[in-house]
Amino acid sequence: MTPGLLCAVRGPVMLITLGVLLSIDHFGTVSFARTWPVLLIVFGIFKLAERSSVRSSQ
Amino acid sequence: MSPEEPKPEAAPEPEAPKASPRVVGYCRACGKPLDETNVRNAHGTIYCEEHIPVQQTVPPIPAMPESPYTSPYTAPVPPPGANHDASPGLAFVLGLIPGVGAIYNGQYAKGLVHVIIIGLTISILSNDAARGFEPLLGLLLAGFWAYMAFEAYHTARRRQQGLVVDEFSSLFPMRGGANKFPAAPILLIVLGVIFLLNNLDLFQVERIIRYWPVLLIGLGVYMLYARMSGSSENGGAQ
Repeated sequence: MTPGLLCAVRGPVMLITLGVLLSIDHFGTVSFARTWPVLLIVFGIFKLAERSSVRSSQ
Repeated sequence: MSPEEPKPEAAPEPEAPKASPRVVGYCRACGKPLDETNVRNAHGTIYCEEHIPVQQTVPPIPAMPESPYTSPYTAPVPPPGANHDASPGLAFVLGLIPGVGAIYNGQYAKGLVHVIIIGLTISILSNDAARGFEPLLGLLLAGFWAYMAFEAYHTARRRQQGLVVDEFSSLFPMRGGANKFPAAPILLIVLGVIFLLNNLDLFQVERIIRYWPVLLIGLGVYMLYARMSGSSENGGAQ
């Protein structure tokens, strides 16, 4: 994965994650107030992947 | 008739610009038609030779080197991006208002982030969401308030010296940290996992986080240890 591809993919994947969490909230199993830290985890994983791809490309 | 030839007399001689000079535009100031020989580009538009703005036609740097000590324009100290209007003192005062110091430095996104951080902290403090963490949050709020002012001061000084100021300078280490330990992503992931476990009732954070002042003690002990070991190294070297 190149860093540019990771940067391009990050926003859509975050949006998809948010949509999945909100639909889980809407259909009533787990509320969004309990699952929002998944967004933090996904964002952190993306930053980690970006950093490792930059290091491998250098 | 093809649409490329609206005038029948112009089409047979396209290679004779001296006989009929092709009009490429009209002067912005006087409206005179201009061909390719007397058109002048300035400020992203075109002028005729009389109405072109003066500062485009006369660059001050090559005209000055006869007397460099009398002219402020050729002094070697300020780089071309130096902004003498940036006042660090004013930036400090404005930095005491949340976000305004960053806005004064032209960093609008950073100002927005400052406002959001201050607003979130105050709103957590002002309702009962911070159960038992009012001292910690209050200290963080005061520290961040001072940080905003000093950060605006230093950014204004860098601007005054003509150094390049990044949009998120000294807020996050955004780039150039490829060789360092990836602290910020790992911190994000750890925080996310802790909050998620707490929200799903798998792990009681409040029971552990009640002992947060232990962090202060641990930090103090670590600093003491680092300073003692550093001073002993210096003492051994001297």
